Amino acid sequence: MQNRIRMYVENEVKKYKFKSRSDVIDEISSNLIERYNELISSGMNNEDAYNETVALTGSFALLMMNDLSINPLNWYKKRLMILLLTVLTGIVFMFFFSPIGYFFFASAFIYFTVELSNLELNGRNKDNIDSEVSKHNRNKSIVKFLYYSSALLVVSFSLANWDLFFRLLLDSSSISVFDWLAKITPLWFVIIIFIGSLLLGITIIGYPLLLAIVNSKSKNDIVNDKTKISVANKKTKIKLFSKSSFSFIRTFIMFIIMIMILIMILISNVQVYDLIPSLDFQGELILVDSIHLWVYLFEDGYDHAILPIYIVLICSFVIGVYLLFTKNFSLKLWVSLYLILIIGFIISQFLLLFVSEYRISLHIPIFVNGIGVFYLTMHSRLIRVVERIIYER
Amino acid sequence: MSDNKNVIFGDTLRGYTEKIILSVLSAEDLYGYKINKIIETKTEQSLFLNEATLYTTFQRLEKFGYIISYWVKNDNVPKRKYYSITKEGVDFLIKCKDDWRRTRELIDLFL
Repeated sequence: MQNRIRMYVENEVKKYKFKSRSDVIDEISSNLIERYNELISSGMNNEDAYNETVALTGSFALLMMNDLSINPLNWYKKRLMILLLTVLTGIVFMFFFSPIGYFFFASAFIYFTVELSNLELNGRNKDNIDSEVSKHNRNKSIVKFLYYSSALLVVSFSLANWDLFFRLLLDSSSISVFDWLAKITPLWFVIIIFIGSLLLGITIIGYPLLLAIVNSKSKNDIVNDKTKISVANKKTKIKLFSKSSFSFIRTFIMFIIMIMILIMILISNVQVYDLIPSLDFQGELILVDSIHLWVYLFEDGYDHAILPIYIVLICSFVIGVYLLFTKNFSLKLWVSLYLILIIGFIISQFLLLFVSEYRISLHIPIFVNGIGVFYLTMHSRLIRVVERIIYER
Repeated sequence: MSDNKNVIFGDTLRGYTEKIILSVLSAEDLYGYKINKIIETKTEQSLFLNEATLYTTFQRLEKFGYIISYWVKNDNVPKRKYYSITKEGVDFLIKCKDDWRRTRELIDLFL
């Protein structure tokens, strides 16, 4: 029976990563075996004693949150460094794939930098104020950061869909609305439309989605505070959302930086044109993304280039978020994940060779985005778990 | 422990488990099961921490430097991991007791 208890413990423990697994098994097994022997001595039969004993093992799932609860600031900084690596790697990837990547990753970088500065501020205050208050503030900042990361993903996916929506509406020969516009209008007009459509995309698609996520948080706050604010009141929801997550200054700064990035993309794209001599745009400076590059490579329709862009885009985000919430980050994991990404990318290219129908290829990335949104929904559940643990701590 | 309804599991008491364990360890060096047994006896079987909670709490306390651990191997008895409270742990416990006393005095004014 002792071996049976030990085997049970081994099965429980192997689900999680421990520094010294055998020591953990030894320690817990010896405790449980002692308990089992005591139950047997009290007159309980073998099977009942076993069941009662193993029931006392509990779940080690909380262990992965230990780092977070012990030192939230360090936990946050570590995750931020991982995210930074994701951003930098992503930018390298995105240079060859899509300008939207620049926008997404730059936004991510700005948001997390702002959040880090908040945490640093709380960290500095730590010495001057009561430690519990400081801890509480830091915990609050972490929760805020988690919501921001979630919001960022919602907006990102929304923008990707918005861009696709334009592509679907337009003539099949057009690559995107911006390319189409660039052929008939001056550059400054294209830039304005580009920024305008991003804003519109956020407002029409991103904002309600964001609101839906924040709404659940507001509901909890309302219940906890026992206020009389009606959950059904839409204006109140927006007010709560604005108070908790939205900052005009931050948004303004973000858009200024976005414009700068856009200019950089335009400049860099001139170099891309130089690399592709077969494309003649009569010297005009227009927005270009990797589609052109793929068109050149495949010498076929535009559709052949769309799917890999979005696969890379979604995968990069999934990897980034996954690493962000993985305690046991390692270089091996990092390399293996990117290996999967690259293999997936290569496979997708082969698949595309067999997908010639234009409309199908357009719908695939939408489907991929749908999966992304679903993933995001699941991810928000994790955030709530993290939040609960932080506050309980 | 036979009546599960009377058992308050670790999750409910998260936040207090560290202090309870430190308090038990302030008397002598003990291993996990013995600590749990003392808690169970003292609370008249109302509180018995599960192994995961116990282990997680030990990990936290060790990281904070409030306790240290060592293995003891005796004949005919499986090896056991003993825990010992450190000076930092004792200081922390004194502070916790003081905080608790003040909190209780305040709450007693209302309840």
